[in-house]
Amino acid sequence: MNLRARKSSVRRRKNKKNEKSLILYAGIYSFLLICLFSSVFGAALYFDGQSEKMNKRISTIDLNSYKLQREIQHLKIRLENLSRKDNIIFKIRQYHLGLQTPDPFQVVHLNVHGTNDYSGNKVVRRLAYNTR
Amino acid sequence: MGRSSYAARIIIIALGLILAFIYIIIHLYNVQIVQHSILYPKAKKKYTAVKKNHGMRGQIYDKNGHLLVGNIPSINIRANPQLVGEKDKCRELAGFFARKLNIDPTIIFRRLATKTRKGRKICEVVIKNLVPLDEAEKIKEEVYDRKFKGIYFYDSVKRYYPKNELLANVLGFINMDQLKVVPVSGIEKAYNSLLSPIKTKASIFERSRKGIPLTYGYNKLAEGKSGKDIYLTISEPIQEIVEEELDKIMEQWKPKAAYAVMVNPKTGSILAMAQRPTFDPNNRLNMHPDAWRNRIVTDGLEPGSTMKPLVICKALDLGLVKPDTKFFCENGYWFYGGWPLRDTHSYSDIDVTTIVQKSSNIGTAKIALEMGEQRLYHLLRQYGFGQQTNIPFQPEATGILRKLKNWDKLSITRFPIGHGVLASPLQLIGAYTALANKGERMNLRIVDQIVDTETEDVYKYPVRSAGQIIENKWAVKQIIDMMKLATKQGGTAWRGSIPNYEVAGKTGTAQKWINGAYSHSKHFASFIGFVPADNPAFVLLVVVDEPRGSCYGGVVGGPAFRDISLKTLRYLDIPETKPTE
Repeated sequence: MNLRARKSSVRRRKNKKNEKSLILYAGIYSFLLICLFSSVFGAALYFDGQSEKMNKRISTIDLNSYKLQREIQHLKIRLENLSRKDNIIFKIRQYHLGLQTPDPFQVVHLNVHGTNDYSGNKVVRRLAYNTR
Repeated sequence: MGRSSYAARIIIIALGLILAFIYIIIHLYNVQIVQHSILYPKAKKKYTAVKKNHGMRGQIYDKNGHLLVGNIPSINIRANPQLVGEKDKCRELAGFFARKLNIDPTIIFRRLATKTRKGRKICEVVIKNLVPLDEAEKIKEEVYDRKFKGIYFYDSVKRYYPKNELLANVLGFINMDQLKVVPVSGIEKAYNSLLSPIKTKASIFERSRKGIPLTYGYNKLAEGKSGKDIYLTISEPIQEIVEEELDKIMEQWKPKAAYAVMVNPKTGSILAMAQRPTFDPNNRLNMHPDAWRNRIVTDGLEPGSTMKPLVICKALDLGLVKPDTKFFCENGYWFYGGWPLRDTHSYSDIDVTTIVQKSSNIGTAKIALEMGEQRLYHLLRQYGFGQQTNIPFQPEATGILRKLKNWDKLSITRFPIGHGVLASPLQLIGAYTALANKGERMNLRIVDQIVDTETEDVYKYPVRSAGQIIENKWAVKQIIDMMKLATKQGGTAWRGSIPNYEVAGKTGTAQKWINGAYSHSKHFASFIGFVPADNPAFVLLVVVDEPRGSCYGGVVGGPAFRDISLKTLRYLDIPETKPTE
């Protein structure tokens, strides 16, 4: 004869139910924690990626700006180089530009109001001069 | 399985998690707090980078803002011998660079093929430094197209003189000693402290894993500060005009040297300062050391007859003589103080105007005797002889003007005719600014302003007077009238006359003092004057050292003076003072 008291099935079922709900709560809690960590981690990764992209863009713009400044400086110096007198005279001769002393009959004397010299005489200006 | 076993397992798992959590906390505490001072610098070293920012050397401009000395971007081409490949590849690369850069291929091949030195790997060799930007860009494209490995292009900057020989002796140049700039001469040396960039500071910034600076991170940026820009009083077009005429003098008279200085008498600003021989600072391989000395500053010459108007003007100012005062010129030969004094022609009684027009030595000496030694010495000091000018170049010749106590009996007759006095061209032209500026001498200046490119502050050099030498404006007008006559027919300076402009000019011919005696074959031929005579736009001095064929200032210097002045007057748009007939 088994004289051990047996738990009633109702109480047994109730205990089992309690055990199951504990596991459930622990599971939900863990799941929520995992979700929280994942979302934070994901957000951090996302923003990090965004800032990397922006930094890369900024650096690219900086680099382009630096290259342009160098190019500008280079062109400024080239401009000064090309505006040397020997270059200009070479171009004048190359393209047969008309910068020569005029023949006397080509000079037209103008009476220009208000252009007097120190002694009050009217001044005649030459229209061209020799580059040779 | 009992209820108690579930609970026990849960408790064990929970305990385990708690222990793990506690361990993490302790470890975090250990890393973040306890070992912070050790680990933080290590981490910082990993995610920050240090970069030195170099400022640029200041640039030099003329008065109108034309660049005379600048920093041209260039490229340093380097290679890594470990990556370029074996001998065949090295040979190919050496041939490629030799063609493109015009360098010896064997040198390049040796550098690329040598992989180790003293047991260590060589990781970088120089192919060529300071390659021009456009040339380097083409080479870069071709290197990438042909897939050459181990070739690197680094940005650099080179000091460049876009106008080549123009104003070279004034601008000077620099040398590079390793990475240090060594100024050698000219403005580059005199103003080196202003032109040099401020010492480079290190920038510390946080970087991503690819090395890109993070704008949000820890940054301690320090931009390198560039040097200041210098604006000269020189006008580039006028400088071109002067240099062109000096080239003609060199071709025609084949002298040892020739130089010219042009000054604005109202401000003392030097508008042009040229000399031959000269050099190209961009190409110094064949440069002769004699060519880069600034003779206008360092050399001295006896002024000769150009001294006469300066002395006679003061005599007029003091009322000792008048334009029509006559002096007996001993028929061209005068024995005084134990030594003869000669004129080029024989004159008897001539007035002061004719003395200036004909440049009579005897007449001038007699006028000086009226003045006396004390006043003459004081006058020459007032004109600036025997003293340095304010020009910043070093070394600068002070010239020779003996102290009064060292004068002998002849001095008073010789100094006024420009003998026994040594003056630099700057001193001579500085003295003439007094005649051109109504008796007031102006201090010479070559730098107009300094500009700080960072702050855009402008520091202007003031115009300074050196004193009123001739008090009486009438005396100045008289001497100018006399000098105008000298440039007309019958005067010694007629070759310097300019059509439709009144010119006040004076020639000078001085024998050179060589080995203790005056040479009969070597001379300084000079011409000095100002145009228009009554309201001068500039004073111009032309000096030719040892011309061949003729030694006279009027013959050698006169035509150059005329041509330079005419072109400059047209450039400055100065109206004619005499109407066209």
